[in-house]
Amino acid sequence: MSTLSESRTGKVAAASAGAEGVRPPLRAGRARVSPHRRRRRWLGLAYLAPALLVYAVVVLLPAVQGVRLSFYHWDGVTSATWAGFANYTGFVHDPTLRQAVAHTLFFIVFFSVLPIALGMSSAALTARRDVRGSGVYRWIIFLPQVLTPAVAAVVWKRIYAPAGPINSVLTAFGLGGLTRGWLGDYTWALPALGLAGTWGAYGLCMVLFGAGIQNIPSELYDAARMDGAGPLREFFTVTLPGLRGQLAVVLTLTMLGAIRVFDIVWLTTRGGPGTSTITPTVVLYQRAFANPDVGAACAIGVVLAVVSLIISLVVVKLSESDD
Amino acid sequence: MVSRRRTGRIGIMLVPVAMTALLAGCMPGTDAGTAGNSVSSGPVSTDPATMGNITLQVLDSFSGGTDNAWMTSVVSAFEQKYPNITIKRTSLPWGDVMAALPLKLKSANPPDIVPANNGWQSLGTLVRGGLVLNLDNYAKAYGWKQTFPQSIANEHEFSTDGKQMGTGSMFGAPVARASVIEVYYNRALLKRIGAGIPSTLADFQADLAKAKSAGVNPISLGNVDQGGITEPLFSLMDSLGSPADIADFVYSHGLVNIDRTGFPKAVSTLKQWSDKGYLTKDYAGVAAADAAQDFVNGQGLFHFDYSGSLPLKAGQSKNFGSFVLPRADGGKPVATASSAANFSVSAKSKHADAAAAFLNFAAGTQAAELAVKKGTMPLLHPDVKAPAGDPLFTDDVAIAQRLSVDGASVPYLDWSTPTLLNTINTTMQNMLAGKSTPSAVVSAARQNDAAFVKTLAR
Repeated sequence: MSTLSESRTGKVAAASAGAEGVRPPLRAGRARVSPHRRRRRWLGLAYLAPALLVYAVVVLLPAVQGVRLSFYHWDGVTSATWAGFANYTGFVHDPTLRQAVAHTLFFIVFFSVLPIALGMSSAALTARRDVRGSGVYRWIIFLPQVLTPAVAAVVWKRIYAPAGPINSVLTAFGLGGLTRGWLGDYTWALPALGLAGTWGAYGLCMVLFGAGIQNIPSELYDAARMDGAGPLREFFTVTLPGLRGQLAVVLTLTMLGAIRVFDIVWLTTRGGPGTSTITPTVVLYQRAFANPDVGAACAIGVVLAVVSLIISLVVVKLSESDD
Repeated sequence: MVSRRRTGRIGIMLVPVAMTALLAGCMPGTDAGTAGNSVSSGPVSTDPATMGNITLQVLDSFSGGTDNAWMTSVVSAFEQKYPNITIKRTSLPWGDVMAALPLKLKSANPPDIVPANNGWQSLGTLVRGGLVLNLDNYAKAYGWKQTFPQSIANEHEFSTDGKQMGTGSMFGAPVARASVIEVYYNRALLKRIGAGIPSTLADFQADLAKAKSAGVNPISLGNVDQGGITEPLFSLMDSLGSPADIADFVYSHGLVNIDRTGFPKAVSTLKQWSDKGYLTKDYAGVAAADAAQDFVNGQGLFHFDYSGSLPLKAGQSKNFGSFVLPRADGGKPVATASSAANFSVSAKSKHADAAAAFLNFAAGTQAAELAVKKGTMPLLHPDVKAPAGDPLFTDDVAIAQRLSVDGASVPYLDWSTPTLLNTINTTMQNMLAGKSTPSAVVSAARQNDAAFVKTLAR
């Protein structure tokens, strides 16, 4: 990290030195370095200022406002009243919100754990081998990443419909008794949506892991084989440690995806049947826009942001711990 | 290390930014309040020709299809009549309008006319925030309270303190276009099972049984996205309850118990229909839009939906007809019905006279004639005739006419609290899946209503 930023500063310094070349040379000695460096520092900040300003106005300011609003009861129009932590205690005593949190944990399995397991094993199986048409497979498996979530939601709605392809296949195999409206079923709606999430994240995992495996020096594999390691041993001693960086990226991305899942739920079941697929983001949307309770919506948003931040920090720390 | 110190410094620089946001940002939602909601005493002008050159900003949610066709034609007819007034429309999808409305009205230069939804969720909150204009002076000047049926006018009324709905001053006005929950039927299937258009609820249920035994899907319904239950539920309530009690419950007048609205019986009847297989198989997993499409494709005898919302292709409408679910007591049919939009005027509008003149025009005879011309259900003017050649639309226009003459419109049940729609949808799904009982739905609705009435702090 530090080398990288040093070298960047070096370049900036060189550029600014070039610009100042016309100035008369200053006296040599300690005093010469210090103001120069300081100026360079301010110059760096000046370069950063436009981006920083936009970031402050677009991200930081609303974030601070959101935190503030979360301590009020507010319908978005009339005067707000101070709420203290009342909007936050909803996570404890509001059954809908508690259920939503439980669903998030369930979704982490489907949006993060499963795609990582699948993506890593298929990458390990294919990346170091010449599989005919592997580019095409990779393209097909990566496709969900390219699709707009709304489109994916419509497709899955159709797949799970009572007259949809899943039920047709089941009937064709004489399993007509198992057919149902999958998204309208209290037991199956949540796993059904979870599976759609697995499908969505699988491609990203596989492509990232595949690229990671190709970066592992093949000498390591040769060495492992010389020591008599089988394919399984090879995976755990060479491939898995070599993929630590990718794993951190994928884990962060997919975990945050699981915490923020909204579009597919809202566009298929709206959290139903009953509240059996409700997620914190769906509750947030309902409270912010449908039933104006802006403070409660902000509290959910703040909690989600904090949890996401903690998860990213933990993942980054874990992945760097031995370095 | 260099980079870390820098980050620290940048962080320190950002602290004042954050503090400014905390301190300078005023208390959220401080506003005019309800103080400005009483009518001003000054005279109002009702002749747009004398108002000089004016540009009116209109926000609406008529963003597509016949909605847009009607609104466009009304605007150009108005501009033709009063060339000194120019109307600039901004048309957004319904959800976007509802999400953006409070912010738009609070901005320094809000639109003059806005489509706030009736009920507490939108219009009621805006009245309490003092963001929309009290239109009573204009109602008097244009005679709205005489010309509009009372059941429709009530839907746009609030008390000036924002604590009562369905009474007091008009804070919005209807347009000459209706939105009604009705029953569509498939003419060929009705004939095949040897049934006629029902005139009582018992007749209707007999038709359902006949269809079922003839192997025809009685009611095409889909509810996976919570979009298909309120239509039959509200229709049943209108069939079973007294219209006065339903209106009083929605407006929370005299604290009518929900038991008197026909709601409990409607919930249990719908459960019976579900148990008897009168609804689309696996309807809990079918999307509402798919159920409407299935009905149009001939897979269902009846379908409950809003007026003008069937996905018909040209020439298909002759296969279908519509009626309002008949009363259990055989009396005059009652329907959940309202204007297709409530138009309110921003409290900050500098052209309130011109805005009110446009509202009056959009509720006028010419606007109703334009509605039937564009194939959308008219309101407020029972005398306009449907053009020949579209039997479904002829039925629709007849329904609108009857509701107007009988004054038999009731407000939408879900206007009564901001969260009732959500409560009904989730508890109905639980009940229909056998996870709870009809009485659990009723008590959830009752609790939701009681909790909200308490927050009004009357």
